Amino acid sequence: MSVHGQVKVRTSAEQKAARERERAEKLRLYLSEYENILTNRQTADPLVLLKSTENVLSEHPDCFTLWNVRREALLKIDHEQEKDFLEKELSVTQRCLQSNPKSYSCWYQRQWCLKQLREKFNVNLYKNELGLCKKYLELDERNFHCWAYRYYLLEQLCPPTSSTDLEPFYDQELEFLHATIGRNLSNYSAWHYRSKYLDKLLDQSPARRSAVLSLEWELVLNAVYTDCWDQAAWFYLRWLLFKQLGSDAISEDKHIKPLEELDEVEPRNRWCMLALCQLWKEKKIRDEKRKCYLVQLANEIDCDRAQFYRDQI
Amino acid sequence: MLEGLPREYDVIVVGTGMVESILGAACARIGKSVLHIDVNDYYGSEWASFSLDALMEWTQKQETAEINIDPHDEHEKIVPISNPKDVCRNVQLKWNIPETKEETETMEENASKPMTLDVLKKQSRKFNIDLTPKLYYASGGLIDLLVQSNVAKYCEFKLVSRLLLERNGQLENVPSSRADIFNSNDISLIDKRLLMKVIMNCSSMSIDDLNEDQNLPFVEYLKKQKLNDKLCHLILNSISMVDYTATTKDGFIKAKRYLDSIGRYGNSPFLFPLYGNGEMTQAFCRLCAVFGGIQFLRFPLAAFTLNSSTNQCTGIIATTGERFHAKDAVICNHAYMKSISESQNTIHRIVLLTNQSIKASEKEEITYLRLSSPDETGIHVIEVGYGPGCAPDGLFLLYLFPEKSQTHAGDNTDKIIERLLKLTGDHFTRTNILGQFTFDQIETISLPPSSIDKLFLTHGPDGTIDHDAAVNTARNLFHEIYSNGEEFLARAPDPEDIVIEDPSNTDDTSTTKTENETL
Repeated sequence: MSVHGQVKVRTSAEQKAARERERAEKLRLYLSEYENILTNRQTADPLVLLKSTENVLSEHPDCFTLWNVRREALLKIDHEQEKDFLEKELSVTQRCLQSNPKSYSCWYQRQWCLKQLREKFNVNLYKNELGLCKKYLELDERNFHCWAYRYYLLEQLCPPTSSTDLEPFYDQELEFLHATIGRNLSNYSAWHYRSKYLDKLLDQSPARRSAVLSLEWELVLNAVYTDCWDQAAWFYLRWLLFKQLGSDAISEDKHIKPLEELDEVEPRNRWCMLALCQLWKEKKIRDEKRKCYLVQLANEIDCDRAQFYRDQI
Repeated sequence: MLEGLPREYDVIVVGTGMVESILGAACARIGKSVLHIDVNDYYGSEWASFSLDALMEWTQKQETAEINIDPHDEHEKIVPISNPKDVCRNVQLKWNIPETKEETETMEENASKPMTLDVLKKQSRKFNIDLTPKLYYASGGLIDLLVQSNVAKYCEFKLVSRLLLERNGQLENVPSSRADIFNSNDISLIDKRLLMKVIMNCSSMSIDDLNEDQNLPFVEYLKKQKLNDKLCHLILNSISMVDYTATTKDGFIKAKRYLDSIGRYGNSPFLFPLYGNGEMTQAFCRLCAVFGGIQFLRFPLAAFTLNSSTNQCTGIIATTGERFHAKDAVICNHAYMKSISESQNTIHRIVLLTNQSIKASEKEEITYLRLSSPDETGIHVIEVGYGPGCAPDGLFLLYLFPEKSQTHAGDNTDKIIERLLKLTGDHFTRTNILGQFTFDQIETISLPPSSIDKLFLTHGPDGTIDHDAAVNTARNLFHEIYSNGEEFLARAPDPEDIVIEDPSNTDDTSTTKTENETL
């Protein structure tokens, strides 16, 4: 193999040619399968269609038309077998998700299957699905498809309003979200769903309102101090202050002062400055400074949004 | 046993330490003929890893007899070698456990069955004890070289999962990522912001941005950023990992490296090789062999040959008198030179065999702890166990060594162990230490280069945590030997890209065929 220590190796041009040949072959196979399926769409046996589409979709999960063909085929199957096929469908989508965890079609198909199985509601099935979501979120905690699916599942699993299990259910979810944010405080989805569940919890247990919001304020303040450049935490902070706490509950000492201190340590941080301007306006204090900041933001710091700031002066 | 071994080479490499092994691989890679020898029956020299039996054997040093060989002619000078094991002095191995079970019957009753030495020896092969433990920054240095040269395919690594520091008289986790700082209950909000700011600056600023601050002591620069003592110590000791005397420039470069390394392979900046650090030298030796280098352990080496009129090293001689010639270079570990006996700088290395981790954890960890204070040099502490294949399940290896070598260092083993025990509290005490292995490793890194043409001396390990010194020396020496623009460890091709020629088409086989026929 080795002549004078030099091994004969394919040049990069040869490597490229080899890859091109592979791709062309793959494409040819795909096109012929696809044609075949579409030609026989109406006439072929649903089981045959399911088999052939499965083969193609496991390599090319984003082909919307083929998923339509599958749904048509599944609806044609008779009632007794339907449940088994729908459950098997879930494992088909799982395989397809492995090649693209962010495929719109796959996640949609899963949700469609669960909806079809509605009459045969199975709590274990939903709990399994939740487990799957957790795994996918561990792989990529910002997979918004997975988040949306998770919340669909939680809505189905949610105990009724009258049940005593409802409050612990919300608390548990808030715990999960807390841990997720703990791992990465940039996770916008986590903060977003946290706001939704916080709303639900406070609706359900109004007595806990001030205690919960107090802890929540500590959490978000910790986040903006740790990373004052991350917008996810700032959005949540403004939501918490203005939509949850409300103008009356905002205290100068507890809420405004810490942000002013942060501003001193991190001047010219547009998120901090904007939050302060909005707070000062609500509490009708520091008007001069507020106007000055807004002008600075519009003209120097965040010129792209100049009009947004000027409108607030 | 040396019959059939060719006598002429481009390069002869003596010793299988890290620098020599990298160099041997680099020379073979560019097509040079390489003879790579070692007098030991194991790879690695002072960088080797041993099973328990092999370590116990290694501690029993044998004396080598001086062989006298006469020169060929008046131009040839013979330079006898020194026993390379002499680079490790004062080797001691003490056990705190009985030899065998019979002895335990006479001892006081203990709730659990005490461990005995013969039980440990039965699991000898599960141990991989490093003479020179080191960690690998995920970004830079040796890892980059392994990836670039594709030698990485010969080794596997695990993340160093737990980084500790000394705080409030205890061992605590080092907060270095944003998530760690966010989750810490120990740091005030303002301090979190100040710390994050410094960390982000270390990552994003370039050295030039520092301007005059570069030469300030790093600790003063950090105080300028309004960090309190606790946080200064955190950055100095556990992120930059420099002493209090370091300049801002040095501290910055190292902090940058640490922070760049986090996230490359996982949530920690360091990797540790599966089966111990000895694997690394073997990986490079393997590459050398793949490209035609000849590896010869237990080589009966007697001396080097010099041409006294040109002051050039011409090769080596075996104890049997056979001579091997090197055209371009003889690369040799400093440990083979008699001159190392002059060196007084040593690194005192401690290896403890324990049955308990220094800090409790739910899962298997590889732990790194750096101990230091304003007026002393840093001490590295590495703990490995079953996870990276270095010890049997339930047992651990605890390495302790100083970052800088010392001249005429007394034996401070007990002092260092006491210091650690104060931090581990009830969880880990002296009773958890089953065995203690210590030795003084002569530091050869500061020794002068050879004054003999074509003889290139390589150094052994230093006390730093990484391999930078070894990699840089290997690269520099390579370019000294082959200064015509040859590439240093170019990427070896992937198997899929290698074209295997049909053997019946080459001339060589046709000659062999004719020879066979006449036989």
